[in-house]
Amino acid sequence: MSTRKITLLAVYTTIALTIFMIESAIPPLVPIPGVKLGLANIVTLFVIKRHGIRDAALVLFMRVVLASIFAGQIVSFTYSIAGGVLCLLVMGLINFILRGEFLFVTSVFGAIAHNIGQILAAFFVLKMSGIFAYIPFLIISGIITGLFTGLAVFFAEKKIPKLIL
Amino acid sequence: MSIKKKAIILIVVAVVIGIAAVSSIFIMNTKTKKGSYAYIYHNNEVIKVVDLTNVKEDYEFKIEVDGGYNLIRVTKDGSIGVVDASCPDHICMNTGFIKNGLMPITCLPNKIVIEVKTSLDDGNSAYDSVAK
Amino acid sequence: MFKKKSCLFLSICLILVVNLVGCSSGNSSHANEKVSLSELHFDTIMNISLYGDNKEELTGIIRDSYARIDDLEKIFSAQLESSELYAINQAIARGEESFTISDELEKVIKYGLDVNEASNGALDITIGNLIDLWGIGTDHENLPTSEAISEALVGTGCSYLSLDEDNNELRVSSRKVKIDLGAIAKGYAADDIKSLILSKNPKVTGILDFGGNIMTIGGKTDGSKWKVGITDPFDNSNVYGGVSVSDLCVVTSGNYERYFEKDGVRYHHILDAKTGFPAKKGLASVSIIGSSSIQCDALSTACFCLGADDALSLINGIDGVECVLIYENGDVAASDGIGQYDFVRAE
Repeated sequence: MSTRKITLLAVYTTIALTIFMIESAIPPLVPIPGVKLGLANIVTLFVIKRHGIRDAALVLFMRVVLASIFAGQIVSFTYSIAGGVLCLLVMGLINFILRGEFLFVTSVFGAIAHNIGQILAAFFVLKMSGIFAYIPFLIISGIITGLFTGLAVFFAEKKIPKLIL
Repeated sequence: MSIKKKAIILIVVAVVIGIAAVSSIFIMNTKTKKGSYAYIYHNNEVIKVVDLTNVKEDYEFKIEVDGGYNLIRVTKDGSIGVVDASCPDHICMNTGFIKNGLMPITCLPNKIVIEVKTSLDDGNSAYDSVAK
Repeated sequence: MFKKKSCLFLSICLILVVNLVGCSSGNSSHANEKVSLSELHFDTIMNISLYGDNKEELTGIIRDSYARIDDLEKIFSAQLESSELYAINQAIARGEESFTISDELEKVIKYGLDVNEASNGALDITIGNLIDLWGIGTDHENLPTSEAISEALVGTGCSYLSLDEDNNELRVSSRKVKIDLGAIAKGYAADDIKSLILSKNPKVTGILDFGGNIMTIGGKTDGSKWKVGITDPFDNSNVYGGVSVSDLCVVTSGNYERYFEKDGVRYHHILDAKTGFPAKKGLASVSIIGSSSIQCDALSTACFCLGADDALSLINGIDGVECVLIYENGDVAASDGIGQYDFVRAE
C-alpha cells in the first residue's frame, strides 16, 4: 500500500471518526444508550464507491477502534461494530449489484442494516427481547438517515476530485 | 437485467419494508396495554408521577426546570402530552400525546423525559423497592 | 516499508487488545453486577433484580426463576385454563369429590387451611365463586345482588375441604366450592424462587417484586439493609413510609390495588368470606414483614379482613412477624416488634 493511500485512508478514518463523535452528541433516538444514527457511514459508502470494499472495511475498522478508545464506552463499541459491519456488507453487496449507480438505494439499505446491526448487538448485550419493539422505528429512521447519507455521498462524489493513487 | 431494473426492485423492497415498519407501529400502538402512570424525569431522576387512570377532567400543570418550562396536559382518557414548552425545537410538543409505554416524550433542552408505565416500579429512588 | 506497515498493524492490535482487556477486567473487578428482568406472570408484572459477580450467571438464574414461575402458574392459577387448580375446580363443579393433587398444590392448600383456622376464617381459599361473581379487576366487574352473593356464599367455607396428606388426596364435599389461591400463591412463589436462587448461588443478593409482593435476598451490596417502601393507600403513586429489612419479605394488602367505584362507594378486591362483600373493617392497607412470603401473603389478607384490633393480637402472637396497619382515617398502627425495622414515614 502506498504512503499516499495510507494517508488518504487515514484522512477518511479521521473524517468518519469526527462525524461519529459529533453524532454521539445527538441524543439516542430510542432509549437504549449507545444506539447511533449511523452518519459516519457516509464515509463508508464513499470509500466503497471510490476505492472498493476492502479499503472501506479498513477505514471502518480503524474508525471503530479509535472511537472506542476515545469514547471509552465498550457497549457502544459493540453496537458500532455490529452496525458498521452489517452496513458495510449490505452496502458493498448492493453497490456491486447496482454497479455504483443509484447511491441513494445503497445508502438507505446500508442505514437500515446499520440499525438492525445495532439492535441485534443491543439484544446480545442487554438480553431484553422488549427492545425489538424499536425495530420499526429504527427502520424508518434508517430510511431517512439513508436518504440523507446518500445525498451527502452524492455531493461528495461530485465535488471531491478523484485522486490518482 | 439492467441496472435500472435492479435499482427499481430494490427501491420497491425498501418501500415495502418501510410500510411494514409503519404498520407494525400502528398495530403495536393499539395492542399495547394502556398505561396507568406517567413518570416525569428530569436529568434521569423522577420528579413527578402522574396517575393516568383516575382522571376526572383534563388538567394542565407546568414543569419549570433550568430556566425553561414545559406545560403538560393530562386528559380524561388517560393520555399525557406537552402543549407548550420553552425549548426552541418543540420536538416534545410534536411528539403528541402518549398513553402507553410505546414511545416516551422527551424534551432534551430541558432534560425532561415523560414515560408511561403500567406499574409502580421505579417510582421512588429513595426506596429500593415498594410493596403494593 | 514492510517494517512500517507491520509496526502499524502490531500497534493497532496492541491498542485494541489493551482496550478490550482493560475494559473487561475493569468490569469484573466491580464486585457487583446487577441484572434486573421483568416478566408478566400470575396476571401481574414481576421483577427479579439480582446482584452478584457474573452477569451471565445472574441472567441465567433469573431466566430459570421465571421458567419455574411458569411451572408454578400451571399449578396454582385459578384463571389459567391449563392449570392443575383449574382442572380441579372444573371437576368440583361436576360433582367429583376426591382428587389426587401434586405436592406443591397440597402444600399451599394445607397452608391456606391452617391460616384459615388461625385467623378464625378471615382468610378463606374457597371464595372462588364469590370472586368470579364480583369480577373485580376484570371487564365484568359489577355490584351483585344480595341473592347472588348469598348463593355464592353457599360453597364458601374451608370445612368443605379436607386433606389426606399421606396420599396426596384432597376431598371436597360440596360442588359449590371453588378454590382460589390468589391470596397466597404469589407468596409461595416468592419463597420457592428465593430458595431456587440461593441453591444456584448462595452469595447472590437482590429483590423479588412479584406484583408488589416484595422478597429480599440478603442485604445491599454495601452491607446495609434494603429500604422497602409501603405504598400510600390514599395516593398509590406515592410511598407512605418504609422499613429497612435484610433477607425478609414485605407484603401489603390494600383497598387501592383493584377496585371499582359505583355511586361513590369503592368496592375493592379483598372479599370478606363471611359477608360476601369487600372487607370493611376500617383498614386501608395492611403490610406484613416476615421471613416467609407465603405467611406474609396469607396474613396480610387475613388481617385486612380481621380489622385492626384482631389483626394486632394475631400478629403480636406470632414470632418473627410484624405488621404496619394504615386505617381508612389515616391513622397508623404497628405490631410491638416493628422497631427493629426502622419504620419511617416518607417526607
